[in-house]
Order: sequence, then structure tokens, then C-alpha cells
Amino acid sequence: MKGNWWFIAMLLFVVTAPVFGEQVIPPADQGKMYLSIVGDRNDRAYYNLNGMFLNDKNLREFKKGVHFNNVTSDSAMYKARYQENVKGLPTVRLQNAKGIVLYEAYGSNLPTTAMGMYIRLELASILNDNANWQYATWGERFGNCPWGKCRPKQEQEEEPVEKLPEPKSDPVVEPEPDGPNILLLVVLGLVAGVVGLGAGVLSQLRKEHTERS
Amino acid sequence: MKSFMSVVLMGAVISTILGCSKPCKIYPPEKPVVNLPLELRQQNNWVGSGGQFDGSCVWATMISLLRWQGQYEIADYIRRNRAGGEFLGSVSSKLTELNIRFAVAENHDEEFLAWAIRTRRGAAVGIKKGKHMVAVVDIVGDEVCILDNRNVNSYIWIDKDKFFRDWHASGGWAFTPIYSPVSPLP
Repeated sequence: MKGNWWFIAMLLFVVTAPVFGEQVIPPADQGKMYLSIVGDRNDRAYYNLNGMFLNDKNLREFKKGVHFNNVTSDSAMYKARYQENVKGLPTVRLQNAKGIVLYEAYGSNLPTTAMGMYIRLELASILNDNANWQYATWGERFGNCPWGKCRPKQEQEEEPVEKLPEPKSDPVVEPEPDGPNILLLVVLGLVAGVVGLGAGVLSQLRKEHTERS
Repeated sequence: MKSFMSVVLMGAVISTILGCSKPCKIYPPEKPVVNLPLELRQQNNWVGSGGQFDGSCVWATMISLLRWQGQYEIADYIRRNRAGGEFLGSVSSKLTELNIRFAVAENHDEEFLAWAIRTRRGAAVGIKKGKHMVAVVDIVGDEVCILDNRNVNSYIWIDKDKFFRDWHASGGWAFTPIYSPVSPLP
């Protein structure tokens, strides 16, 4: 009987231990990008922007792969590090690990839909990947990295608990379907197609013009 | 000239797509890399629950690092509810109680400190034979930069060998919270 109690106690310990354990292995996330949302906590636009990042599946996933910071204009952090270099509020800024701004939009320049925001952020990330490839060292290219391309490992961190300021009235967050990432590829494909077609037509016209003259 | 115009036009198109309408201000690399605004550096002199000045070097360091990583609420909670001396060995269990995500080096692991700087998080380290705790906020060449909670007005750059001798003699113990550090200056 005593043995059974011991077994149950051990079982409970094994089941509940991970709930209390918060010590983690140091993540190798030095290559992660930084996504900052900067704004006035009493501004409806700032609140809606945060809602966009909370409600849209693609943006939520994007946030998990980067260092995410919410900075309000009344904070000491804003006054010391953002006030001088943001052009308007609210601002969304994506930076690479070295601090280079890959994407920044503010005020009325901000995309109005979650999908629009997501496409811009993904596009900026793709450009950053290419920049990383260009600036990779010899060791990174031909050392331990498969195919010579080193993309910093994107650790999936548990999202910190976020508390948003209460708005004066209900936020207006556009309901958006959680679209698959394939949409991004389709849009990029279309853009590439149009550019290619245009270049082709232009080249043909130029050729004809040259032949005539 | 024509190709120059094409480059300018292409730049304008890319800028429009990415939303960058004018050149961004470029800052020089920050020194130290964990460059906490003065207002957010925690001095070791707050009033404890008993109504007397009763800070804690361990918790002051932790509060500064948490603020750097955007965890203001937890930092404020600690400031209100924790004070007094702390044994380094008991900090892990207390951080777990507070539900703080953290990483620890208990085995003189110098690479842990290098990692903490590489990831821009900084680290709390025991020095002076384990009697004091400070934050390591940068390691550059032969120097280590620390933020000492006894005087947070300025950073202190000290010789790397001297620092590591002190750290190893104090048990080689370090920890840091694991959240997102604030973004670098653009």
C-alpha cells in the first residue's frame, strides 16, 4: 500500500514538474529580427494595430519568429531610444539583428489589412535573407551550413503575456480569414509575371524600333 | 545616365513598396550593447516592505535586465515585493516561483556570458567572492562592461582577465531572463 502512494506521488511530480520549471537552455537566437510596435497607448490606431498582430494567424506566427517589442510613447524606453528616430505614431518597424531597418511604416502609411502588413513584413524578411547570404562569411558559407546558406535558427519562443491598454470604445479590428501562406506566393508570382511580361514587351518594342530605324 | 536613372527609379519603387519614404538615421554601434536608459537602471536602495531602505543587489540587477527585455510588470512586482540579501544558490528557485523564464550558468561557463552579450540580453553575475551581484552589459576585446547597482549613473569598463578572475573566485555563477531584448538603435 505504501509503495502505491509512493508511485502516485512520483507520478504527480513527473506530471506537474514541467508546469513549474522555467529554467531554459540558452537559445541561439542572436540572428533573430526585431519587430517593434511603437505608439500612444490612448490612440485607437495603436490599439487596432496591436489587435491586428494578436488576431491574425499569419502575423501571430511571424511574431513568434522575431524579437517582439511593444513600446508606448509615455515610457522611458521610448524617450531614450525611439522618440528621436520614429517619424510618426503608431509605427511598425522591422529590423535585422544588426539593427538595420528592413521595413518601417507609420501613421497613415500603415497597411490597413493584416494580410497587407504580413506581405510587407515577409517581403522585407526575404530581402534580409538575401542580404545575409551576401554578407555571410566564408566559414558560414562553406563550414557547417548546408547548401552554404546560413539562416539564423528561428527559435519558437513562448509568447509573453501581453496586456493591452483598454480603449475608450470597442476596437475596430477587421475580421480577416486566416489565409494560408500560399497567398503570398501567388501575389509574388503575379508581380513577377507582370514585371516579366512588361520587360518582354518593352524589349520587343525596342527591338522593332531598332530594326525600323 | 540612363542606367543611373533606372537605379533611382528602382530604389523609389522598392521604397514605396516597403514604406520607407526617407532615409533613416544611422546610429553608430552601441557601447555597451545592453544600453539601458538611466531612468530604467535599478539602483540598489529601494524601500522594502518594512518601510526601510533595504534593496538587494541580486534583485536590482534582475530588475534592470527585465526592463531591458520589456518585462516591466514583473520588474515592478519584484521591486515591490523583494528586498534584502539573497543567496545566489536560492535565486533559481525564486525565479521559478516568480514564473520567470531564465537561463543559468553554474559552472564557470565563460561562453554563457559571451552568449548573453551576443543575444543582447546581458547577464547577472556574482562577484567579490559571491557577496555582490552586477550586470555584465558588454564584452569588447580585453574589457568587460558592468552595470553596478550601487551606482547606476555610469557603466564601468574593467579589465577582462581581472573580471573573470573575480567571477571564477565567486563561484562562476550567472543568470539572465529569457525574453526579447529591446530593438537595437536603427
